[in-house]
Amino acid sequence: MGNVKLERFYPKNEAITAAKINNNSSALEGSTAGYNQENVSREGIDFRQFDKSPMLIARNVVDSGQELTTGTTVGTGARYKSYATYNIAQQPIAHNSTGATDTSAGNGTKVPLPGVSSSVDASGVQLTGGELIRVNWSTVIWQNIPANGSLADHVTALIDTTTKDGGTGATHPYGSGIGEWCWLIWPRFNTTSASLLNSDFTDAKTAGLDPNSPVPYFEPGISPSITNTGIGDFVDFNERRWDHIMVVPSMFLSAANVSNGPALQLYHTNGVGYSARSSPLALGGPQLRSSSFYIRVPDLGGSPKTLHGVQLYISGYWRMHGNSAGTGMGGAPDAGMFLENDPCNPSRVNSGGDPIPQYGVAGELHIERTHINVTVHRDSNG
Amino acid sequence: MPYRWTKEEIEDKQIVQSRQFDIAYSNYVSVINGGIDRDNLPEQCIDPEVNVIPNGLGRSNTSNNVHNPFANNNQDSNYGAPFSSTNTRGNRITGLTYGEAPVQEGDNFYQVASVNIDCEEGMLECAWKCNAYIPLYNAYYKAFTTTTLTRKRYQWQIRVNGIIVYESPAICEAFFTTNISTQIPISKGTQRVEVHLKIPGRSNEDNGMVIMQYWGGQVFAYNTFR
Repeated sequence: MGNVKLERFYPKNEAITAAKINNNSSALEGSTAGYNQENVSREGIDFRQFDKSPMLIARNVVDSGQELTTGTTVGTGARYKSYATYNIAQQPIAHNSTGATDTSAGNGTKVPLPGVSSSVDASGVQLTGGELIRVNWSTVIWQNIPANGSLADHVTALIDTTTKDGGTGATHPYGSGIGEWCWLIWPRFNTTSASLLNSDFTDAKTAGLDPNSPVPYFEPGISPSITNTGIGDFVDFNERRWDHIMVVPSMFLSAANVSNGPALQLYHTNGVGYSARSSPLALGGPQLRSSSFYIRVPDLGGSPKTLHGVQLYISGYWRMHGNSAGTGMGGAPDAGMFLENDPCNPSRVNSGGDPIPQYGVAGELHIERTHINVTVHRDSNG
Repeated sequence: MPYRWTKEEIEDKQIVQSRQFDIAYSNYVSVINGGIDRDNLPEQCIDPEVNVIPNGLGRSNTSNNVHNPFANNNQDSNYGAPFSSTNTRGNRITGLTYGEAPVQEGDNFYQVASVNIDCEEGMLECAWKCNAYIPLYNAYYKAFTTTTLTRKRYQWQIRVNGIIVYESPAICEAFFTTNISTQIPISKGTQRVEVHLKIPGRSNEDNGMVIMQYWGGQVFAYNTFR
């Protein structure tokens, strides 16, 4: 509604009819039905005038709740396995307070939305466009466990001064690099069903929340047209979205003990397969890793989406690679990562006794607590 | 504006000058025409889904998928070139090196990302998330040797219109996801949020050693109105 304009009787100040007075009264009366920003004074109202939060549509939090004392090991459901050896390209982070696998809503990292009627309410948040989705998460990395308990087979034991260039006489020519591997953790979204089945979680573009993204979202193991495994299928940093991805380092590197334990450092003081407590491999305690991701939902053109939930996923081990020509996606030179598909087994031989060494990396990442917070803001996509 | 009394009471059977009506009505009109406030409106009378225009209370913008431009990717002289493209046992490492743009000799902040946002007076939240990798070889001295040492670390800085509003500590882990944010008062107008990166000054390493690689960055700016 615009400004109310009444007929003024001054300066004529003449004899007037009832109709003129009634017209003015009607104008005032009619104005009361359509007040807008032209009628309400700037900074004239408080939050108490809103019947719900003017900024938030929905917010929910899930905390896995597993809390351990040092020297203990996480439950079996909290031990996430690599692609090499275990053939798992990605999996949901879904362990509960006891470390057991729990895929129900409100457990692990499965966040139901809106979570209003109850903390497991997954009836969904309708998004028409303009909303802002904010995902924040953190994980406590408890341990990094090599698949092979033999120290000699740890990839980092292959690093020495002759290995790095793969030169003549190196103990392990072309051995694994210098620790350029990590785990990936990222959120996936469910716009399919309030059942929150794991099979219904997908990346933000596929879920319809970010349809205008110029490139697909990177999804470990299942990206369109590639399998992501092995160095030949490495994923460029510009041809897939990587900004929803968090990295988790697998090691620290110290040159002080190159002869017996040069690099792969367990986060925890309780070693597996050998006494890491008295080993130079033991460095540092459990570590908290956190990240965030923001999606500005564009105008969905009259085809709204309903966001039922968000869940974290994990994949490992990923390694750096710079392309020169002929591999990966797109042209060279570029850079990206690939999912390691070989374990570390430098002494492997075939049936004839010929050496067929493998210089990959395989293992488990043990996670203690996880925390994920999803917030949907109203119309903030200007 | 609180409840306002009319100044003119017009009584029954009274002959008045018509201007008295102007005065009487003007009290209402002055309230209706931009004077309504919290004292006139009951609590919980506004449904933000219905009564608030889009972007009426806040506005955001992002710059997505920020990574080191490939033109700035140089192959590591120790772990870059020797390996064949299809060798599954070793990798090429590429990234920022000394002696090349934009790092050169290091020790300076340079811009890696930015986003503009049309603000109203209020608060501006600025956030930066980014993955980074440091090849840690030569990052430590081997005891009792003269091994070359490289100072491998980096710092992030958030600037708004050129003013530093946040600076991260030096980060020196092999893989790390930086996740920093701050919030500042902001005035009306188009504001520019920039992210800058600093690599330490060169010590004694050669040009070919990769110092750092970054990717998967996202700049986020969120203006909530006053």
